[in-house]
Amino acid sequence: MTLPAERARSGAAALRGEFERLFLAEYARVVRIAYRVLGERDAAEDVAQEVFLAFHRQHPADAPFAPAWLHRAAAHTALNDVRSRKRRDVREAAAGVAADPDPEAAALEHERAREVRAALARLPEASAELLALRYSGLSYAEVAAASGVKADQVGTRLRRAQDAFRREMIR
Amino acid sequence: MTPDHALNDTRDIEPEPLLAMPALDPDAGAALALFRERVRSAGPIGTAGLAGSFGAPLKWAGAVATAVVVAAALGLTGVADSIFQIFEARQFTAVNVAPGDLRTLEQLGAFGSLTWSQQPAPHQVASAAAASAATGLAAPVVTLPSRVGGPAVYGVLDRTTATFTFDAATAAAAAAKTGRTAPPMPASIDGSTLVFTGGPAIVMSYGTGTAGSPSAGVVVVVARTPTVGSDRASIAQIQGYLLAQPGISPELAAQIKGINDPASTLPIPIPVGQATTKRVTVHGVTDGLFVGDSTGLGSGVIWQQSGLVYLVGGTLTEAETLAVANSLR
Repeated sequence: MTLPAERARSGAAALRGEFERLFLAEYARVVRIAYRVLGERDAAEDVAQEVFLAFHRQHPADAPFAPAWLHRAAAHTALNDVRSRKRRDVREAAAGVAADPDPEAAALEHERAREVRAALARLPEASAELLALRYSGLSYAEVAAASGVKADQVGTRLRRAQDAFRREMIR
Repeated sequence: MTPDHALNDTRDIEPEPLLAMPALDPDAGAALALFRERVRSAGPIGTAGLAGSFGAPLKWAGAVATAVVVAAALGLTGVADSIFQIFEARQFTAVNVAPGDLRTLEQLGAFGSLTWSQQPAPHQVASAAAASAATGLAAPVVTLPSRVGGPAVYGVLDRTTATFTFDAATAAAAAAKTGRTAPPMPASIDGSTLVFTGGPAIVMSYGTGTAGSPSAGVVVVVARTPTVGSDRASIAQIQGYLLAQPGISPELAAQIKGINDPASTLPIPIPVGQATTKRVTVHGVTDGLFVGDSTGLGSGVIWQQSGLVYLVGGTLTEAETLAVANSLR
């Protein structure tokens, strides 16, 4: 057995093998989960780096729960990020709309995207997480593994989360 | 948004098109190269990162753990007779700190010289019995949530001493280097010595997870209550001087000054917006401090009881963390 710190120190070697395979296999899915929440590719890739770094420090690369951990962490980290950046949204909206050839359509699209992010941020954590996982393209089985919801309950929980999302969208 | 496009009724809303996203195919190879560089520049995780090695989701539970672990690694050996105790951590309070405050706090070492009797060096032992034998503390028995897998890993920290001596000339030189004008160091502080004490400690970590389920990592720390001794300066004098530094925000200064019993209350720095905190009751102790990571992925609780500081933290919900804390026996 090794202490976590010792395990982390030996991580450089693991990076060259098992961890790199895990990174390459899961990176796109982790980014897509964060992207579903944030709506911005660069921000989603930042979240993915943060999530992989956290995993690398905490767990061995061959942990059987690795994909589920990464997916869940991506959803949580992205949701936390979107909750903390309302002011940035305002600045980005102004900049993005001004640069678009069709400012009115761009403004509308941006506003709708902002409303979706805000609605996700207001939802209970479990509901927002389910929606982020599912609408990033994960299968029901993958959603179940990441969220801890039983596989045969995922459909029901998703419908409830969608209902809650509808309610939040008209707030 | 114009009224024509407003959403007024849940029947207007179809989640599918709103939540669907355009296809995205990020470059994993380029991202991996960037990741390698980040790991390389971050360097190995030091001994102070023992609890922090649980990573970003646990960063504030980890920060609390690190504070206790480092404090617990300090010992009383070699303390002169002239040292009188000015602080013992019997309770904890959260103070919100801005990034500027953190940078200033990190520079406090520039006010003098720090000497360790030995650097805090957590090391692994084979069992609870070995941890108890090495520290003289009883290794607690813990009941964990079922999703926390794997055997316990036991670490111990020995007693150590750290002596800090204030030096006005060193402080002035450090301030000049950064272009700041620091307030003059009072004569009551210049040349005075602080001795940080505490330890030993047992650190128990769990968290290899189980197949097919989300993982959870848990760290349990029990440490002899840390203390601070001084040969001359009082805690009020030291506090007044440190809080007058130009990098300390008025908000942080007000929080520190508002602590009712500064001789027994350890402030736990919480970066603004990063975590929530509240008072909780653990084992009948009503002033435990609960810290929840704002990502929702981690939380921790710290309390003092019978001369020992306990910390439980992990990738757990609030209810799970408190259940683990209350399970200690």
